Amino acid sequence: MTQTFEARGVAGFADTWLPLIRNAGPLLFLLFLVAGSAIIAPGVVQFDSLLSFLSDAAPVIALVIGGTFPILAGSIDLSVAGIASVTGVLVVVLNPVLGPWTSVAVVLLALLFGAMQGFVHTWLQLPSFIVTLATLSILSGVALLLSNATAEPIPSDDVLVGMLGNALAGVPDTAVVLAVMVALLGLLLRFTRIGRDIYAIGAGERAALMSGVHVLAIRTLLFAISAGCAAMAGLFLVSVTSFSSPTLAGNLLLLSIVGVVVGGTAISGGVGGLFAAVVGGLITSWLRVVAVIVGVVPTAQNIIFGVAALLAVAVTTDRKKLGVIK
Amino acid sequence: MTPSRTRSPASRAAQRWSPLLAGLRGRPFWAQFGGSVAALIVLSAGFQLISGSFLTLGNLRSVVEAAAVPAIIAAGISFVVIMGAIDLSVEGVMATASMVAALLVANGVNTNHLGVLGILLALAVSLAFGLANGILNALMRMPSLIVTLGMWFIGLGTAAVLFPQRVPQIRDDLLLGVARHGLLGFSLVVYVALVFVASAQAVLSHTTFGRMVYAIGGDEALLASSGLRTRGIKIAAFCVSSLFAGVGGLLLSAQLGSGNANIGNGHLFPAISASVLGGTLLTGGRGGAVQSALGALILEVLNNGLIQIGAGPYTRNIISGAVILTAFAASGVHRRQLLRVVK
Repeated sequence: MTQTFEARGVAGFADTWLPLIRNAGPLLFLLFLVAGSAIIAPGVVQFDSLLSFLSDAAPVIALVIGGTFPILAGSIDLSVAGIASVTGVLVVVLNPVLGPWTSVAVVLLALLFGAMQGFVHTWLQLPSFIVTLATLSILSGVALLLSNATAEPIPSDDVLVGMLGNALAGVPDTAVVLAVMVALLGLLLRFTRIGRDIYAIGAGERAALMSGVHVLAIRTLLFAISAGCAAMAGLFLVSVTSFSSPTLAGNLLLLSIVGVVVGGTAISGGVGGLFAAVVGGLITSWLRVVAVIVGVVPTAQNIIFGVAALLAVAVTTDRKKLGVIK
Repeated sequence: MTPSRTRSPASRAAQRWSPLLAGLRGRPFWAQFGGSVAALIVLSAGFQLISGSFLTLGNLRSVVEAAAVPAIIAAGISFVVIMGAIDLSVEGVMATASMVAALLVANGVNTNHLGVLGILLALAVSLAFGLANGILNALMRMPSLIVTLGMWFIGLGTAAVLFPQRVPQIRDDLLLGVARHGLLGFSLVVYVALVFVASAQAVLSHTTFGRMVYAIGGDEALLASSGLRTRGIKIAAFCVSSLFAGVGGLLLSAQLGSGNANIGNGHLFPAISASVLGGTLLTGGRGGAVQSALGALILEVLNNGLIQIGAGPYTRNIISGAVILTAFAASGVHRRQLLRVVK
C-alpha cells in the first residue's frame, strides 16, 4: 500500500499537475501579468491603451497562431519572420504591376511558398528546421535584393493594407481581421477531419500514417497556414509603420516561438491549440509592455524572452513521448 | 583489422595510421573526402573559366583567410550535429565572447588590462553557454533545437547589455597580433583554425569521448539499453561547440579590432551548412571535423566566386540557401523509400 502510494506520489506531479499547469497556467500567468502591471502603472489597462496594445500585438499574435500549426505536428517553422519581412517588401515592389490588389496576391503567394516548404520537408524527408532555416536565409536575401536594402513607403492605394489601417467602431481593423483568422482556423482545428489529423500526426505520426492520414497533404497544408499567417503578420506590421523595410520582422522569430511555447503548446507536438496560441501571443506582447514599465533596457529584452522560452518548454514538453531527446 | 595480418608490415602501418586520414569508420580516404574535394575543384575551375581571375595566388589566399573562422565554428558544431542534435546558439555565444574579451583586455573604454586572463575568461563564458545547453538538453530532457534557440537570444541580449556607450576598441597586443602577424603568407588566424580543426578531428577519431559522440548519433536508444552513460558526453559535446564558437568570436574581434555585439550575425546557417556539405548528416552518426572544415571552404569558394562573377552582395544568401537545400535533398534522397518519421 505504502509503496503504491509513494509511486503515485512521484508520478503524481507529472500526471495531475503538469496538465493543469499546461491548461490553466498560461491564462493565469497572463492575468497575473496584466494585474501586476495595472498596479504599477494603472494607465496600461485603460480602454485606449488596450486598443493600441491590440494593434501592436496583432503581428506577434498572427505569427504565433501560424507557428502553432507546424509545432502541433511536431515540426517547426523558422522562416515566419522572413516571410513577414518579404511580404512588406513585395507589397511595395509588386504594386506597379498588380495595382491595389497586390497585398492579396502576396498573401496567396506566401500560402504557395509555405505549401512548397511543407512539401519539400515531407516529401524529401528533410528536417523541417533545416528546410525553414534555409528558406529564412533565402528570404532575407530576397528581401534585401528586392528592396535594395532601403525602407520604402507603402503605396496608399493598396486595398488590404489601407483597410487594416482603419478602425471598426473604435476597434482597430487589424484586431478584427485577427479575430476572423482565429475563428476560421479554430473551426478548422476543432471541427474538421483535417484538424483531427493534425493532432493525430503530432501525437503519433506512425500510428496516424498507418491509419490512413495523408501526412504529406496535411504537412503541406500546415506550412501553408503558417506562411499565410506570417504574411498577414507582415501586412499588420506595415499597416502600423506605413513603411516596408527588408528587416522589418527580423526580431520576431524568437517572439513567435516563445509565444507558441508559453501558451502551453508542447514543442513535442500533439498538445495545444489556437486558444493556447492566442494566450501565448498575448503573454509575449504583454511581456514587452511589462519590460517597458519595469524599465528593462530594450537590449535586455532578448534575455527575458530567451529565458521565458526555456522555462515554458521545461514545463510543457511531454517527455514521456520523446524516448530519445535530440 | 583481421585482413591486415596477411599483409606486409608497410601496409599494416598504413592501415594503422589511415584512421588519421579516413576518420573513424575505416572507409577509404576518397569515400570520405572525395565529394568535397571534387566539389572544390569543379567550383574553382568553373569560376576560373567564367571570371578568369579566381585561381590567382592572392585570391586563393583570401578564400583561405575568409574560410578560417567559419571552419572553426563548423568543426565545433559538428560534435553536436554528429550526435543528431543541433546547436543554434553559436551566434549568441560569439557575440558574448567578443564583448567579454573586448571589455576585459586592454581596451579603449575601461581600464581593464587582463591580457591572457581576459581571453581565457571570455572562453570560460563561452564554455558556460555550452554547459547550460548541455545540462538543459541532457539532464532536463528538453529538445536541443529549442534550448539552443533560447540560448542564442540570451547570448545576443547579454552582449547587447554589456555593450558600453561607445565601441570598445581592443588594444591588447596578443589578441590583435593573431590577426596582424602572419607566417608564410597566411595570418596566424589560419594556423589557429588548422590547430583547432585537427585537434577536433583527433578527439573525434581517437578518444572514447569522440567514439561515443558517433555512437549517440548512430543509435542512442541502443546505448541507453546497453547501460552506457550518455549524459556527460552530450554535455561535453555542447561545450566543445560553444567553446569553438567563442574562439571564432574572439578571432573575428581580433580581425575587426573591436568588440561587437553583432559579430556572429550570419554565421549560424553557414556553419550548419558546412557540416552538412562535408557529409555530417543531420540525422547523426556520420561526418567529422575535417569534413565540416572542407564544407566551410566550399561555401567560401562559392561566396568568393559569386562575387568574382558579379553577383551582388544580397544574392549570396539566396544562392547559398538554395545550394544547401539541394545538397541536403541529394544526400538524403536515397532513403526516401523507407517509411521514416521526420519532424
